Amino acid sequence: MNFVGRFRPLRNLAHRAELNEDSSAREIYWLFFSTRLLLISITYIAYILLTAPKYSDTPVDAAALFSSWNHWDAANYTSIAQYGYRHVTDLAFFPLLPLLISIGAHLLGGADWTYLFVGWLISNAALLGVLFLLYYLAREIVEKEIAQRTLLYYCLFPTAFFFFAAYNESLYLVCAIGAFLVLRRERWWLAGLLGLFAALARSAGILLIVPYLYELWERRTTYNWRSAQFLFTTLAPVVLIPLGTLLYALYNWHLVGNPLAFVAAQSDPNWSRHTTWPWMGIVQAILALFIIPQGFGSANEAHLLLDLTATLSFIALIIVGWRKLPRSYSIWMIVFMIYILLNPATSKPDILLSNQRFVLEMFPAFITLALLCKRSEKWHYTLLLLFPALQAILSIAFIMNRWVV
Amino acid sequence: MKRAPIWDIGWVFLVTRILLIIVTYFGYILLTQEKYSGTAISIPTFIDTWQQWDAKIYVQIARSGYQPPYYNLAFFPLFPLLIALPARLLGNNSYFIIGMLLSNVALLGSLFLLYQLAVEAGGEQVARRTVLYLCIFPTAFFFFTAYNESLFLLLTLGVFLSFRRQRWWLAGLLGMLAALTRNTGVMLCAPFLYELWLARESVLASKKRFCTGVLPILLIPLGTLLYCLYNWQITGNPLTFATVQAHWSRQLSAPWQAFVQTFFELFLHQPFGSFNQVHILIDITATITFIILVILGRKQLRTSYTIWGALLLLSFLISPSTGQRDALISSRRFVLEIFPAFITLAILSIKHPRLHQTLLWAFPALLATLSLLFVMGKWMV
Repeated sequence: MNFVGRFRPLRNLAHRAELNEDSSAREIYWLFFSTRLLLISITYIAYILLTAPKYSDTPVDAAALFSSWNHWDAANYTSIAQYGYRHVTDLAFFPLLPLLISIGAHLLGGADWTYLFVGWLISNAALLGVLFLLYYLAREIVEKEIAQRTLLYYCLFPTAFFFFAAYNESLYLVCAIGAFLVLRRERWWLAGLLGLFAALARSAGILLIVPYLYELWERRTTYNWRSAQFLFTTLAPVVLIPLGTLLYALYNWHLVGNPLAFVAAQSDPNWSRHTTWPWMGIVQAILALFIIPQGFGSANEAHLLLDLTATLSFIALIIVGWRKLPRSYSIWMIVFMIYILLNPATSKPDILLSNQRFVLEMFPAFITLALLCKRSEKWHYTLLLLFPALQAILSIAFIMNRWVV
Repeated sequence: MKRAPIWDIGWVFLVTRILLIIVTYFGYILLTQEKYSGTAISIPTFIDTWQQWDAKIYVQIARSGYQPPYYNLAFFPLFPLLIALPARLLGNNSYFIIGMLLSNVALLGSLFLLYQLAVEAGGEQVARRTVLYLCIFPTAFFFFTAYNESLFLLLTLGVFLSFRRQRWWLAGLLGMLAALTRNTGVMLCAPFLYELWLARESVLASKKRFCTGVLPILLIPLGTLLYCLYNWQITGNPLTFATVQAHWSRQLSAPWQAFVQTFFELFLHQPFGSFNQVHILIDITATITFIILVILGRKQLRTSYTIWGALLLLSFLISPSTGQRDALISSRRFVLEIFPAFITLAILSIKHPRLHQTLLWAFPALLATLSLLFVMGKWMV
């Protein structure tokens, strides 16, 4: 828990919630390493058996096996890290992860493989951080067993393999969850700083303004709103969060002359996301699935099913969680859900594209899920069987470079 | 005696069937269809993805019987026979689907019988876990398609349950059917003799008791004998089913030979990440794990279970596929038949909660992986 040791507020937190007991940390390490090992085994078995000729003794192409996790956005991040932003469409990918990859890779000598390796390492190290922080956070509102299940569901969730590839979800989450943790502890500057990093990691990072202001609002009676001290130590740090986005906008301006190029890139035919009413994406997806004749068993149907199920389940989890979670978590999730629904890929067959991955970022919903499944062991077991099976399938599709984003 | 919890067992059965259907649907589509393709895939296509390897052979036998050059005599007749009876009435397209139904129904029956045996061995919690582990075991997908493992399991479990109830004739009858299902069925004679020995006082009490106890054992080899006669009738050699094993490149050898070959291949011959390396690793892991489980179980379980487990292990260790790189080929599937090992695993998991927690998600993930490879027609036997 070295990274916790470095931040005094986090270390205090750990003490307060009695989380530095060895058993909790051990459980988290166990979960982390065993799920990593599982993904490695799946890669080894599935990649080789799907690509090698039958009965052959020829060794697998080690480089290909190694880079089988470098697909889709992971490939975009590593290539941005290696060559910088070369196309306008690249600007849709926020800079923190590529920047860190680039730094790490240069330290390792800058060969091609170092970019892959460092990206993979950052994503997984960040996941380990996420697990610890999420555990602390969950322990503030629920008992130990529920907190452990939250982590379990998080690691087994069907699209959790994105935490294994060089995607920036886990990096973003480590910043966002950290921000939530310190917000609840009234460490405003630290929250602002983490918000800044989150905003540099993903476009949705800027939404952390909302829980920040809400937490402040909840404490309105404890602060003297007019004092300079309040303005400086409490309110001012919120500016850091949009500053992250602003910095990236400036960089966009400097690079292509348009500070909003990263927004414009979204509607590029490559990503084809357009702003619309938040319900339009869902309505269109349902129409595409059930009303417009869609061949049974088509690729479009499978993707619509995955993304629509993820979206609707998490809307349900937000609603159910409203009374169970701190208000700022629920409000943030609502804002986040609206944010991803505002920009569906309306002109593509898979309208809710990538929602299966975006829902990973709604970490409080996993606490709600754990609370719900506490009521019925059958549900717990059902998730425990179905989640890893689906994750295995989607991981295999991902490493085989099939369309899973 | 408490009755098995029907809903709980039914639930495990149903959830794992749904799991395999989901795996087939998403896995097959994602790996075969192009991005943004609207092309439909018909339900029969999805069903046919499960008709691979031995399933094809059983369906072939059910459809047109054993044909020259009679290599498929290695596949015992009861399962294809049971497919053929209803399928002849229902038409040409029904063979495979009936095989699948049969296999799944037999699995459901097996789960109930296994539950009973496991309750007696270790209590209710052990029984629940035994049933669960059997359903989520990484190669449990063979119970889903038209393989005869679940039928064989059902019959052997029936035999062991009959032992416990001292229903000797029933045990003999089920044993005969088991001997007609797989060649290893005839080995049920050994646990039969042992159980008779345990019950010797009541068996030897009167002449009538002796007859009802000892005579039924003869039914078991009779099953194999019937198949020998059938072999004789169609090929002129009563042991064709054994001699054709050479075609499937299996031959008798000392039980350690398979290990020697495997370790030689693994550590000296195979390069990292070859097709054969993966398969050898899967099979040797299954084999060694089950050897350990049978050994660990000898103190926990009835001796007749251990005898049965050891005999099954021995049976595939002495007929390895020495002509192939992976000498222990199919061990991953054969171990499914060693039901006592699953009870042992459940007993162990009670002592080590973390083992249970890990198996609970690691097994389904591996099950999904291997199922997908099977569905994609990759070598998985």
